[in-house]
Amino acid sequence: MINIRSQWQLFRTYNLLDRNNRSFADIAQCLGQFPDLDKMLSGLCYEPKSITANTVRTGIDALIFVKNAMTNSQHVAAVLGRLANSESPNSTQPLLNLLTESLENQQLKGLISELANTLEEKSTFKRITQEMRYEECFAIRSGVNGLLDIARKTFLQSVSEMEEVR
Amino acid sequence: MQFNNTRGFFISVPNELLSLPPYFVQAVQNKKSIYCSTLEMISTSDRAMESINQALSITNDIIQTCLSQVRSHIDQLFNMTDAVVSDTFTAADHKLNRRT
Repeated sequence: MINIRSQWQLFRTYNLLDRNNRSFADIAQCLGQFPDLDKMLSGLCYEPKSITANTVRTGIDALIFVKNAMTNSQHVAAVLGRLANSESPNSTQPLLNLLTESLENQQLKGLISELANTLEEKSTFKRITQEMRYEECFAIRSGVNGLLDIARKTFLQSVSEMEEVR
Repeated sequence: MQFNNTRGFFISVPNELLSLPPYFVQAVQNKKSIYCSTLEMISTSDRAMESINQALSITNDIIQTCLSQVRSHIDQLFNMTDAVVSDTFTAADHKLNRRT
């Protein structure tokens, strides 16, 4: 059954996007930087029975994806907010306001600061396996655990040796 | 030099070479390239993978605490994901309508 009100709000949003090409381009660019959200949510919901390298990798990937998704969601919310306010003050955009509210959740902002204490500032998701492997190895802030820093140094040493062999 | 989960680090050589030198081992021919490695590279790659696995096992304790904090906000994350998917569909539908 077609909900007429929802369709009408969607139609108004399309019209607004049509009149604001720059905002549309900004939204498209921000959305392209999101990681695989299904993989993120499934990684969070999965609690492994045994600890293996793959299960730990799944957990680290989920955390990196969450950090990346929440940072990008703030950007999208900012663009949607500007778009909603670009019209006259009397007109309302309930669909855009609802989306902005979902993306700018205050409790998620608190989560971003908690993750910032654990993860490196520059850690982000990569689409290439090799680069993502580097991100997983260096995701946690240095200085948290001495053995972790030693393992990372060994890894970097091995990679530089392989580069010389090549 | 490339990497995948199965082989670890390996070398990719164009397919135009007629024959590989003998120090290249584990050669697998694909359409455009040949994946191979050397004995030295295999041992170094194994060492690199071992150090990664060691780093991951140490990381596990740290991330479990963080994951439990994130899981307490799972409902907000689902809302955020729904909002992003709605944005994506709206933007894609708008682009499609503009083309037609």
